[in-house]
Amino acid sequence: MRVQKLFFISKRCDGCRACEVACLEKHSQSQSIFMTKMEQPSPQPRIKVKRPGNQYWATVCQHCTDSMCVRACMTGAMQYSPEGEVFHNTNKCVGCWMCIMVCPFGAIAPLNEAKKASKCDLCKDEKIPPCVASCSRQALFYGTPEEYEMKVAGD
Amino acid sequence: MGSYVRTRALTSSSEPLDHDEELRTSICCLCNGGCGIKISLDQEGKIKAVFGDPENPYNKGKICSKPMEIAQTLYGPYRVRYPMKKVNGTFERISWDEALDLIAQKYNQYIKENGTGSIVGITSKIGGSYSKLAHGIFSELTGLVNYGTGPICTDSEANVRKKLFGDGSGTSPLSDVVNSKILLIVGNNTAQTKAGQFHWITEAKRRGTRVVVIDTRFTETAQAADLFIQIRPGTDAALGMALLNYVIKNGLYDPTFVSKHTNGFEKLVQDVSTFTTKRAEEITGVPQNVIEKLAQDLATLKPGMLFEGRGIVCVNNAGASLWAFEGLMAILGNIGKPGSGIISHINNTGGISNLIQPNDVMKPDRKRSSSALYKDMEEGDVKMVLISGNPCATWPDSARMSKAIEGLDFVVSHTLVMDDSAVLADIVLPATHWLEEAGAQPSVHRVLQWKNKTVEIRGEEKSGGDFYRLLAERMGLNSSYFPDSSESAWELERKHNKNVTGISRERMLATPGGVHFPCSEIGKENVRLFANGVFKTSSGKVELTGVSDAPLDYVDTFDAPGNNGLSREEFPYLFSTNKVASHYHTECQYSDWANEMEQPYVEMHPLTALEIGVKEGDKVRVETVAGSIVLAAKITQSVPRGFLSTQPYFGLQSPYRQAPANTLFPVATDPVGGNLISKNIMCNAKAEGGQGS
Amino acid sequence: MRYLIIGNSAAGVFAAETIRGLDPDGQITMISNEDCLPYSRCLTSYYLGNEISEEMVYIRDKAFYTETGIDFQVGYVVRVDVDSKSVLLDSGEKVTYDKLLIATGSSPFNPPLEGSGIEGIFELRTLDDAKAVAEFALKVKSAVVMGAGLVGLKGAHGLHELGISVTIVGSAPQVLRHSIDVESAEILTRRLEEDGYRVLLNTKVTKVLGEEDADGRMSVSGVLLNTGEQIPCQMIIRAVGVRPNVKLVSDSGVSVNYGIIVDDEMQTSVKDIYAAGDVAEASDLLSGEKSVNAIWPSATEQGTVAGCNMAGVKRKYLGSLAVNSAVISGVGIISAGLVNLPPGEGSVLRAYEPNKNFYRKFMIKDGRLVGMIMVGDIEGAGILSGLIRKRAKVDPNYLNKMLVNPIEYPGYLPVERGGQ
Ligand SMILES: Cc1cc2nc3c(=O)[nH]c(=O)nc-3n(C[C@H](O)[C@H](O)[C@H](O)COP(=O)(O)OP(=O)(O)OC[C@H]3O[C@@H](n4cnc5c(N)ncnc54)[C@H](O)[C@@H]3O)c2cc1C
Ligand code: SF4
Repeated sequence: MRVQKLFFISKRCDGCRACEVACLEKHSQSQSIFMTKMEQPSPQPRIKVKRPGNQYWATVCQHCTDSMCVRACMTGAMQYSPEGEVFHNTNKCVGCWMCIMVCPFGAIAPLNEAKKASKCDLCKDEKIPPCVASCSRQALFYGTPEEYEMKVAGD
Repeated sequence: MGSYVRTRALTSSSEPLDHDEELRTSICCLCNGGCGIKISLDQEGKIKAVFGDPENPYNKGKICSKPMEIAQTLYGPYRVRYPMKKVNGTFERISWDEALDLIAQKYNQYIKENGTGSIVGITSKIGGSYSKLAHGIFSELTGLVNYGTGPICTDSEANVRKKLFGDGSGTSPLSDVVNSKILLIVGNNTAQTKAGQFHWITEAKRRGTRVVVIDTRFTETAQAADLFIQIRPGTDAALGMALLNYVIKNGLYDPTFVSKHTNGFEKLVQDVSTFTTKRAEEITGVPQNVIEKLAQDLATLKPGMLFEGRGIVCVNNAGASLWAFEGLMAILGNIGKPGSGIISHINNTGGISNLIQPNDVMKPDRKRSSSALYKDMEEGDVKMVLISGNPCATWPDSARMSKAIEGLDFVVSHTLVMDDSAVLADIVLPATHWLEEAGAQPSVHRVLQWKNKTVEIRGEEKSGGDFYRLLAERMGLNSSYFPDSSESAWELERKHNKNVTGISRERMLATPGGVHFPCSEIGKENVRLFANGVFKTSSGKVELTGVSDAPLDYVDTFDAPGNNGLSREEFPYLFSTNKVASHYHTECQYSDWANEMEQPYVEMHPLTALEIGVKEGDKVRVETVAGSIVLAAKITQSVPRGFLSTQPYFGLQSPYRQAPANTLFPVATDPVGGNLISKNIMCNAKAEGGQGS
Repeated sequence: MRYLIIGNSAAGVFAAETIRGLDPDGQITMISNEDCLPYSRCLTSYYLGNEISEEMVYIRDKAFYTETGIDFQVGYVVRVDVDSKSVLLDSGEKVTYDKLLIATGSSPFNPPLEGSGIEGIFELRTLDDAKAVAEFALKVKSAVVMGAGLVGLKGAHGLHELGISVTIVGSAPQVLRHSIDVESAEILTRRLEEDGYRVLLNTKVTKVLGEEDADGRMSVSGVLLNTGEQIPCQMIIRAVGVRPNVKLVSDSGVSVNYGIIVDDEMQTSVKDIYAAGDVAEASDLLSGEKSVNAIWPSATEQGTVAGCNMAGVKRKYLGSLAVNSAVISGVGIISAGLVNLPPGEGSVLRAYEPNKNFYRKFMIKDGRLVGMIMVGDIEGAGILSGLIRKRAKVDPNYLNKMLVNPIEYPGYLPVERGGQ
């Protein structure tokens, strides 16, 4: 199992939220950042940058190995991929918010109009996730935990 | 992630600096915005600076960067000052006499040996009212067929509108927007392309006009709008047809106007009947609810206006979009009333009639479409061309155009600067700049403003008016038809064109902002066309079906000329050119200031950059069936993914030393309207060798 | 190794998958009296209300048993025989095991009720129940739901979706007595009433009224309440409570209190026999006392822990945390941990905006968050339930801020690890 996921390197982030914008556009129906607000149901960014203390913090799915949301999901919508990432099948989702109730990172957002949960899907159809590509300060890293340790954590 | 908008090169408002010397007044002739300008001259009488004219009621002191660049264009190293002749590949100075004799001799020889059709004019920059008139007379006397800005800029728009309303011009002045409740701007970055007049739109918005911008790019205009609708490139017709269908199905149109003033409504209903807003959403990417809300707004916010731009004109499926949107305005009854109608930079004052005696008229012995011109030049059917303009940068497949021109027997370029076309000529003639020539200038406000000659020429420059008169004399034509000055030209024009008969020079000068046309006599100015409900079609009604024999139909840009048959794998992206204020015409590039404002770039979405593997500033080779050029990547979310855009011109002879972007467009025309295309061509893009900055 | 799992629902499925992940070669047998793919009973009310298709009720797809190599048997386990390490099915068949998991869940518990032997009275536990209700509901105009707990409200919602006029009768003074407090219950009751439900609290059904139909069969025509009021209806759903399905271990030596008592490895008093889910009585995360926590997330977590230990990988159950999430008449409500503090203990933070259906309440004890309720805007609820779970000391300023603002991950705020 090689789980590739997003790592957030707080000290590099300057809170520009370009990642949110990139994510929002990617997950919009129209593929247009300018139309997202008017879309029905309107999409939500699946990564959110906040400043809870004196540093920025990106809220994004951690693709936990032992995921609370997979266990809490009462429809089977939250599932592991063969690689071990946590995937959300929106077709199955009924919007009961059980996953939101348990995700300790607050990384799942309720789409109230659509009655569907929404969270990072790692944009598997892209070379690298758009949020990562959008970050001019390399505060987001996409890779396996080992790669992260090797390439980033040491610096 | 790059920028959303270009922050520079936007509307600039300049206050005249403190000055001792007298400021001269003129009208900017660069974009049909008709901005009043003030020129300050130095001791030598050269232009020192250009300001907006605060007294001009239309631009109110605002101008864009282009007129400011003139000082450098006029006195810069690229300016052509005297006639030249190419001898063994290099230009040698000659006299006007020698030049005119040579041209006259060649001209007469080709007419005699190869017929009038062997000579063509490519005359997109012919000059002001004097030059236009003289050139018109000359063409009638010689059977010269000319290609002006139409093929590369306005043909589709003018043709469609002509078929619908009987007149290709915009029906209403831009200044009418302050009376409108809603303004629909489609494929038009007017904040850049009519920058000095854009304040009319922001002012209208301030007064409550709902400004809706439909565009593929998030432009400066979009930024200023109430609503920006980002649409997939080349799908505007689908949106227009869905709006029509929704408006019709829900009874939101103006039934009185439709029954009294239109023909063919039933066929239109039929043509759009399957275009649901859902289907439009799938094609355009615009959410269904947004389309429906827009249709409802258009129905309730009356009067409403439409301002289309090159974004839906210079494309391979232009006809249907223009037909749909203009038809929509018609069935909403948005024509002829204050605050309604179509704004356009096409503002023809109409032609002259009954000047040339019938037996002096020479009819062209053949005519060709703009796309056939290439072939006929290549195959030797065309022998000689008279150029005023820069087709080697402004026409599609620029490399092919250059080669075709190079291969001709005899090429004359009457030009301001030594551009990509002039270097290919056998004879290069110095042209006056519009500041060096008096004339009447029409504008997007549907007014004519008179400008006096502002600066003296410094070499041997001649206006088109003088050039064609002198050439006619040398050729032995009846030169008495020709006026010999801008002033006499205007008097002649008034006599032979009833649209301007009531507009004297004195009136134009005395009326701030000029006089509305058509105006057959004083007091009969028309602020907008069709106020009386009578259209210029043969039926006197709006011909909703009159644009083509085929029904109004949406054609995917990938299946339309230039793109059809190409593989999406090989050419996965779309490429377009889009003008910016500082580089509106190729002549604007011959200035250091313009250079500072925009370096060659190709805008692309961050994810497209990622796909291609380039970062900001890296070199990108953009490739199409027609050719390839290398540009620096400019990464921005203001363009959609998979869409590349640059400003149109450049030029190998320009200070940029950069192949024109039109190199990338094959010669293809919109089948309905006839425009050559300069947008939405399928392309590929790859990282080019080394990294940029 | 022969693993035997009784029950193919939340606890059973998660246990089986865990075992399969850790022991690819072990022989896994799963027995259930429900002859179908694993499904979520939480979704039965959605199915009933026509909000989802039957297909969506299943939590695993058709290939589940074959892909995981689970031998699935239909049958009802009558008895567990500890000595012979086997179970007896109602068919008389015996199935042996090396390790046994009892994941039999619970069943509706219905106290005796006068007049209840007639047509039109239903429960809502299984998919079959839901199908029966859905079929009968076609001829029904009004219904009474007995019980204002989660199952009662969800069942009522299903019927309401079908256009049936529903009266909810609850004996407690509030709805969702076990999972939320009075204030939030009031918001929900108001929303339910706005949506056209009739909600009767502090009320009991004392008698079912019936009448003979054309075929001479008795069916429901109404209920009589302890208040004396009669409510006409053609259908009743009884949802007053559940009891763990423990009968199969009676007299087997497996200790049973209310449910089957398990240690923190989910093992019962008898070696190699494990229990998980609604049937198990495991320790509570906050109090440490044994109790049954009959909710889906606890069932799956207990199943996972049991599966680990059965497969020989030691894993401790950290204790059940009562968490609930429901969307009632469009209003989301999430609670975790304690929903009320005994008087005089700890402190309570509360924010309430009635017109926005917004309510938040945090229970704090010894500097730790021990319970929370969120109504309306529930985004980020897991951050708070996570803090409860961690039993970390929490900065009161943070909680004060979170009371009215969007919940943010505390990130770098001073949070001190607590607990053991
Ligand atoms: C209508 C409804 C709505 C609910 N909504 C929610 C909710 O929103 N959130 C939440 O957290 N929880 C909810 N629950 C509770 C949740 O469904 C249970 O906590 C969960 O299903 C427990 O899973 P389990 O595996 O322990 O047992 P169960 O799901 O009860 O499964 C036990 C299985 O074992 C079988 N079985 C029992 N005895 C035997 C035997 N002797 N032999 C063979 N097989 C046997 C049963 O037939 C059944 O298939 C809801 C429950 C219901 C009924
Ligand atoms: S909201 Fe969707 S994904 Fe989350 S637990 Fe409910 S069904 Fe599963």
